[in-house]
Amino acid sequence: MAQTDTVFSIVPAIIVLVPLVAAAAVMLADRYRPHLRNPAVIAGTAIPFLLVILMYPAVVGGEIYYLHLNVLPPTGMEFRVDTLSIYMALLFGFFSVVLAVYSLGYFKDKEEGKVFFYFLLPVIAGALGVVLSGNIFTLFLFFEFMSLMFFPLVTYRATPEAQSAGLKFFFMTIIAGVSFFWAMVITYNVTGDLSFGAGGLITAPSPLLLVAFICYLVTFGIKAAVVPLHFWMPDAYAAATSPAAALSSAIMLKTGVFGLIRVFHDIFGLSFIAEVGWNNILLVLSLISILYGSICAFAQDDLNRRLAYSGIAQVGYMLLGISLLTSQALVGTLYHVMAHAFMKGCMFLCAGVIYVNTGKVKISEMRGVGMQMPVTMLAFTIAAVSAVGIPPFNIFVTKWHLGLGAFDAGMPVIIGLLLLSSILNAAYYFPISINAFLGCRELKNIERKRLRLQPLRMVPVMILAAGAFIFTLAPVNWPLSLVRTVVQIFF
Amino acid sequence: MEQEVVYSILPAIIIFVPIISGFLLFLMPERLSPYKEKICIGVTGLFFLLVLSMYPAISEGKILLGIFQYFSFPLAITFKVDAITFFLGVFFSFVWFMTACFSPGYMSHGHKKERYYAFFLMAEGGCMGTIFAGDLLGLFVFFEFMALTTYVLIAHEETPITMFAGAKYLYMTVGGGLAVFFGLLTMYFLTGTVEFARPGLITEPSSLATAAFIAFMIGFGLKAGMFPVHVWLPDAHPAAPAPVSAALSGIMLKTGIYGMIRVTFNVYSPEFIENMNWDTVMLVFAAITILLGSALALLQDDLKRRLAYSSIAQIGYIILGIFLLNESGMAGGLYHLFTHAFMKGLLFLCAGAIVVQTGMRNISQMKGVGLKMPFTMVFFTIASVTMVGIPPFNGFISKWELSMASLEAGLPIFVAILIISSLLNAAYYFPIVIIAFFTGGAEDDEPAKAHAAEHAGGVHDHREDTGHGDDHDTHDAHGPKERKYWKEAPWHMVIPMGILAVGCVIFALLPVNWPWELALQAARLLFSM
Repeated sequence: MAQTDTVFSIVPAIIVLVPLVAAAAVMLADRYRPHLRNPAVIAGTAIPFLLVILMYPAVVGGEIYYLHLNVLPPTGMEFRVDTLSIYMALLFGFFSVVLAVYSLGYFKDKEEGKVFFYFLLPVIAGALGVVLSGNIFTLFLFFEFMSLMFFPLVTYRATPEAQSAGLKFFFMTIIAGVSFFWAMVITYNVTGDLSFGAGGLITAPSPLLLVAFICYLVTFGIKAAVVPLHFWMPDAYAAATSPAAALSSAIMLKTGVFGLIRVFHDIFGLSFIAEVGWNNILLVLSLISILYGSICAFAQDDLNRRLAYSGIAQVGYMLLGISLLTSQALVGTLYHVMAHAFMKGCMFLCAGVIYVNTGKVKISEMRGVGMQMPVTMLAFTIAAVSAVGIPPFNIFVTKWHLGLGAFDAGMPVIIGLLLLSSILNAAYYFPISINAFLGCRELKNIERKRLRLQPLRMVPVMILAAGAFIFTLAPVNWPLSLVRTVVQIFF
Repeated sequence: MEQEVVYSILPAIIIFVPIISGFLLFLMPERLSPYKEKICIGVTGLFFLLVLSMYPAISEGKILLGIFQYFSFPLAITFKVDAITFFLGVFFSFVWFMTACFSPGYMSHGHKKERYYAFFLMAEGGCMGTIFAGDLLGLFVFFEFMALTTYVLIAHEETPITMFAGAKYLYMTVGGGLAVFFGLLTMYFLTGTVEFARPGLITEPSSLATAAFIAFMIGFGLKAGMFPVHVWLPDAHPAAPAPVSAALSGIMLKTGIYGMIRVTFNVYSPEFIENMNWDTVMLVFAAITILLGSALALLQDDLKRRLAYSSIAQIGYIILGIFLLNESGMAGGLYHLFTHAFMKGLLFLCAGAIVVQTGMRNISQMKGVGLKMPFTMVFFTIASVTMVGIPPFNGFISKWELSMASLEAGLPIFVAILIISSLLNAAYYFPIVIIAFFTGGAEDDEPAKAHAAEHAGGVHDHREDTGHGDDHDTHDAHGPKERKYWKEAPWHMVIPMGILAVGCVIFALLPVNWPWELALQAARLLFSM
């Protein structure tokens, strides 16, 4: 409990409102002033990001931005910005800008991409709302809003696969919403309070609370795609457009992880969870996710699908870090939130570039694409090497802290699983890069010709690829030090 | 012996000279294309000189320490140059330099030369960084960097066989890297530091300490080509371009050995390892490695494959020297590191020269190749003789020292193993020399003509020995025929080979055996710190 000052501020609410307003502005611009559409999209993502940056110094300095809107009884809407919120909001803000720019490049045809932005901006607003919310009820509202707004992005291509994937996603969202509601009701019934920041509301275990706990797990587990609730994700990613998949992977997935951190540390409280040992449920699930995701990723030939299964494994890392209940492991989790967003975001964007430029989605068809798109595939390779956890890339730091956390928790066996998963990562990512660059001497000249770079698409890819190592090479690993201050709230 | 520590930025900077130039070459292939050979040779040469410039400080017994703040995951990295680092650094960078000089000739018909030179430089940076790192984290970072950049070099030819060998190398080496990572993590958890310090950091026996030791040995042993985890090596070495094979076998294997030395002396301590009886286990592995490598080398017909198996055997010698855990064993092992770097580098370069000039890879085809490429094969012979360990050559010194150390450790069985292995060495190297020099060329159209030419050549040599006034007509008369058989590699390939060949002999003949002094100093440092 390092924080002391609570500052009343409407900035968090503005942050959430701006993308919504921008979405409306985009609609109007499409109708009346088409040339203003792109500026509106950029502004709708950049302004929240800038506002988050403005809040950053004060929040890290120990202040908490707080806003209570007495609109929905019994608890009302609350915004509360602590260091965890600011960390997640910074990430989400940054990635929403990058993804918005990329989406502008991805949909070259304005008509084709028109509706995409109507829903992209609300999803971003929802995600920002989730991380800035001050009680579980507000979190619930934004969480549901975000999930529902994402549905049109899944079905965006309107193919039969996309429709069925969208339906799957929709039902999973409903299940998540229902179980979230139930869990919330139980929590309110037991404690009479839903707000964050007290370091745990619950003191005595009861069977009802276990039900609530499991409901929370189901809710956020669906969003984070933990095995056995993962099955919507590969379909959705394979059917959705690349920016949508990247959005889901870099931002939406993380709201599930964020929700679980809040549940563990703000609703139930660390000591309570450790006492009753419910974290072991999540521990087992996360380990299964790591192995299942890594193994399934092997079998996929569709690049987006392989990335999706790999995402299941990566989320397993994050949940593992939460469930180990040690500070080092939580540092690993939070760092991985950042590292995974850069890594997987970059990969999805690369997959999108490959698709737009060549129409290829199958890995087996991608032999020699490195000849046509060296920059894209180089970025992909950087992300792949990062995923394996080779220093100096980000995920090395994640694995380092998760490993130390596992040692602290007295479970060194878990490290073996992490290493196994790493080598599986190598085994399903490296062949993509290798086939793209090497072993293609027999290709025809036409297939070797370099394609022109498209700046709106390539700049985000390059930024995300640089993010895989830029922090670790800097004198101070800025996200890591921020994460360490975040963890101090809880430990 | 207290060492004076001098803070110097030099060790931290020089690593980045090859790495950054490699990156530049990689990122700007079109612009730098005309200068790629010059960049590669120049940078490796410069690197050698920079390492050499540290000699005065090292010879006074100082330790150069460079702290590099710009890596912050999760700890800062240090670079440290002490006697052992310098010993390895100076000779390895020299062999890198020689292989770089050899490369333009070998690669003259190759493809994607920019990529080759770029990754060659990066691999050198990684390899040297492994040795110059002052803590285990830095060692690991560069170890992985080297491993990944080397993959591109191994798979350079992009044929299916090469790709398979490369993939095998890549996945095994990633696995090895993860094993080292586990060891590193355990070490940090147990001790809270990753620095190399003496006495050893881990002093309490525990299951974690054992697990970490096993992980280290798997990780570094894999890179070194130690017995159960050597399987990538015989595929990868023949698949790579010859200069890369030379660097791989001559130098990169040794980074695994270096890691083992650091683990033995700085993470754990010799006494601790002796108490835990881990040294016995490692000695058994070393013995198996020696015998298995030598025996399998006998069976190979592909010259580079035979050399690769021979490397496995030689690595066994060095591991033996380390885990005898006495000073002369260590000195012998270190001296053999140097010896093996020179001779195996030379052998692979010779094999490369043969491939480039004649296209032959198999030993059974190499009849008479010594007459076509006399310089190459003479160098090859020198290296073979060194390998067997015949007195004036370097190999003799290391074998002598290793045998003495075995006796000192009360394990005469290893002397027998060394002798058997030497015999096997002779059995698989000398036939190559014999085939090359003393059997007729297989490609000759008519044996008689070949014989005549050989005869004429012999006479010619003889006459030249006695005097050289009237040879010109003979020379002219046989000129066209001789030219048909004369396939010696161009001078820029011969000279690097020649220098390495001289290196195999010269130090043993000088009054002060400089590498030996350095090896002794390094061994003493390890045991006295």
